[in-house]
Amino acid sequence: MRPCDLRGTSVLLSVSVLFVQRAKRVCDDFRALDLRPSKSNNMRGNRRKTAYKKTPVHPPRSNKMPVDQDWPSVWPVARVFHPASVPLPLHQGWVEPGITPPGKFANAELMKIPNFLHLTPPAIQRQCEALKKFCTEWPKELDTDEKIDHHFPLQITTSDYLHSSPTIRDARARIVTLQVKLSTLNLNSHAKDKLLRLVKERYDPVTDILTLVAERCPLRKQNIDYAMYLLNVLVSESWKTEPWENEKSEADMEKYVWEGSQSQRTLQQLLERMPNKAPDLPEVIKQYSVNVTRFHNEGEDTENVNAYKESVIKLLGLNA
Amino acid sequence: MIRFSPTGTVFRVWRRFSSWSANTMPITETITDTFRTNELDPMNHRKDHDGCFYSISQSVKKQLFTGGGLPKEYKELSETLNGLSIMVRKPAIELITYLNKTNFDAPVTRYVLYGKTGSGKSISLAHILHYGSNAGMVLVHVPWVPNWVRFPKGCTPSVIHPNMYDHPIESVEWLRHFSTQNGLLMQKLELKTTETYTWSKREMTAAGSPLSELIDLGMNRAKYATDCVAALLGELKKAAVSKRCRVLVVIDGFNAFFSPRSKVQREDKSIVLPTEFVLTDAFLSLTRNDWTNGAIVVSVDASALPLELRESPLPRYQLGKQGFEHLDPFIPIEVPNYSEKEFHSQIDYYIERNWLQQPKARTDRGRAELSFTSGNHPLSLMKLVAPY
Amino acid sequence: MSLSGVLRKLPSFNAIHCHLNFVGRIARQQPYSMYQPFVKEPTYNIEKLEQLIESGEAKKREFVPVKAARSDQNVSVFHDELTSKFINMVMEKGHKEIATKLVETAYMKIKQMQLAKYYKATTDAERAEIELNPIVIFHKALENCKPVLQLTPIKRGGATYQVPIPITENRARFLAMKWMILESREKERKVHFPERLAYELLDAFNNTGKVVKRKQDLHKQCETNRAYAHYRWG
Repeated sequence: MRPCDLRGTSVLLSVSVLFVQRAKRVCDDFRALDLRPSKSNNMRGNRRKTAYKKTPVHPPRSNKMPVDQDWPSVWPVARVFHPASVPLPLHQGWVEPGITPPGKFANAELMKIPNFLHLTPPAIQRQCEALKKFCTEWPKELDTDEKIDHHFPLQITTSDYLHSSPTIRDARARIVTLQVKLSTLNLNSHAKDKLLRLVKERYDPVTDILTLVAERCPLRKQNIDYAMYLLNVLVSESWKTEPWENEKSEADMEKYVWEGSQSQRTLQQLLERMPNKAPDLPEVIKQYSVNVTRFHNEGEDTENVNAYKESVIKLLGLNA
Repeated sequence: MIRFSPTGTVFRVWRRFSSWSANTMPITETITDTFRTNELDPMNHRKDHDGCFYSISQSVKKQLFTGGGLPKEYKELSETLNGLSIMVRKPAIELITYLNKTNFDAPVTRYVLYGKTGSGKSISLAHILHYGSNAGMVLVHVPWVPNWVRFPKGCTPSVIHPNMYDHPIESVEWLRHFSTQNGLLMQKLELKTTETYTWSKREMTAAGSPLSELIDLGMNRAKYATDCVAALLGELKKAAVSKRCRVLVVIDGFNAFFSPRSKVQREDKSIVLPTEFVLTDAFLSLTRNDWTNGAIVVSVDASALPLELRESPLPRYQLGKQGFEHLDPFIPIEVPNYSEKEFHSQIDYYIERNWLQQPKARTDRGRAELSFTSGNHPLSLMKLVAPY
Repeated sequence: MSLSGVLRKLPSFNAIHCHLNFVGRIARQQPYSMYQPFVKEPTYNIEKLEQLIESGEAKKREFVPVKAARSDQNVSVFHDELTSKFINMVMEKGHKEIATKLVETAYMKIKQMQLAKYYKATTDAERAEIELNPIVIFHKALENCKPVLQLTPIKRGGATYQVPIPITENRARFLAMKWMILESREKERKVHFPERLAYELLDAFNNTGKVVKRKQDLHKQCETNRAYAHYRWG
């Protein structure tokens, strides 16, 4: 505190100045009201650069926050970190080892990152309480996964995206994935075959799930509607039989079918000419057909080939 | 010690009892004396002969294998080792049991030998050929089909069948091979043709003429040789049905008939498929099961097909859809790698014939090493033992 | 160390050369090696190893650093050091597989030829004389081809004389192998290398053939140049 220049001032003025100075020194709860700031002696001869007048700063509010206060009222919405309102001794920032990280005041790092001080457990509880009146209870009967799958076979998956930026929009939020198990669609073999040909790699044979991804419309609701429409169309088309489907030849078959195959025809011709047939012929034929089908559909294997061999031996009566 | 009798059959004198050779072999060598069998007739080969070698006389070898049938390296080795000996193995024994039990009134059964390349299919077929020869069957033997598909010595378009191709040179060679194998038998059987074959305006073979005339015509006139072959096969089929003779068909590398490629090209450089050969047609008609009094033994090998189709040695893959449908139902017989007994027997044979020279290799450790490095695979073993 | 002392105690080629500093040869104490001098060669022969363990030598060698085994050093029953060296010399551009195949085919051909003779022979005595093991034939053939002296050019008074000098074991073996390979690579291309090599080895085994002749020519040359032998020492 500079000694004030009392030259040429009245005693009253000097007293008032002293009074003001004393008030500044204390600077505790209230700022002193300074309607007419006094001119300091800045005439020629005493001229100096105007010192930057520091606005007197309050002590941070957090010093006076009671421990049992209602935090959601203090921090009701998402807000940039404000150190004076947060009664926590936070430190953020990398420094060399041994040095204390910077404190929370004027800490750009703390201000850059998103904080979730508006989502503390009491705040969330209040939100849940408020939302409860819009919710219904989970039905007690749906307690196992099987029951849920049985009653609700269709599963629609959408994603929401959070941003800590001015905008809440994300283009990916419109993507809709629809998953359904084919066994729930009750298709016959022809319809299933046709559906699988239409759908190609969207079907996973291991889990029996058909996955349709819709993202061609700008809005999520539109995409959901489109996915449902697509499923309806697929199922209805697969039940229809076009006239040209009769031209399906052996080369188009997706799996080997014994009836009507060349193998069956040769066998018929052979059996006509065989003098002594095996006693349990129908069974033997059935086993043979099963083995031939197996090694066409399941891929050839030494085991399959041996099974085929056994059945042919029985067929041709070369036993013992 | 090996003694040679005038007839060329080999019999052993046990080394233990001969005085002069007491110190020739170091003690650590192991050799089991049970790898040979004296049963020289394949018709009598049974399960207990498994793993034993039996020798084939020079005359039989000349008769059966002059036109092919033994793999090249095996043939050279047999000449080096002063005698052809074949190991009796499970697939051949199985086949012989089936053939002995066959009901020759039923339609012909087809047997397909399959296995990795170099596991002994051709040798098993050679064994069966010997069996057929001893059993008095007419042998129809194709030594290695890919020779016709991959290395044709001049294919010409056929005159009689449109859009088909002849193999004049190969047909002549095959007819020669056929007459060598079946010469005596054909003389005995005296088969006759059942229909007239007109080759040209002046040449024809009348019905009722002996088959040998047909064969001679084919051997002399390369132009008609392929059709002669086809005619011959047709006649044999009819003869078998009418019980005048019994036919054994042995074909090595059968899946080459269904190969997607061949080395024969038309004028416009497009590839001719093997199914467009007259010979293919002839042999495919013979291997159908629409006749009786015979047997068909066929082998299927990955090396008979182009490189892209060599993934699996199993018969369905190797035959392809067409081949499978043609041969179905057949009995697939696997020709596996050597079992322990067979492996040791093979090593014993090599030692006894002085082929495996390295003394250290003749010990137990050496055998273990050979078994491991060859994986008990016959061809690999042959290659490993060759330089030492 | 006196000169005579060196010669008497250490007849090795390297020691003489480094002492006398011949023209055209680099004086070297030992060949270039990645390893320190105290690192030992590996023992990869199973029988030798078993012997070492039995005799107790192995315990002494427990902490001695050992060089890494080369890729062609193995415990196979068919392993022969001389053959590996030979294969390395046959090899060109690093194609070891081709070189191995050539030499192994040559061995097979040797066996074939010898077996043909063996089975043609009628008496036991004849058969006992025929050597069938190709490795034994190879070793003997090399022995027969190894020269005992070699010629080296020494300049005295403006003229270069070919002076006979003793030869080391390694050098002799090298020359034998080199000549063998060169003779087998002759111009006639119809007969391939393995076959020619087989013929050459069999001839050398019987002390005949081009390679033995070459060795004998060298010996004759050395004999004719005996007079210059003292030029070795100046």
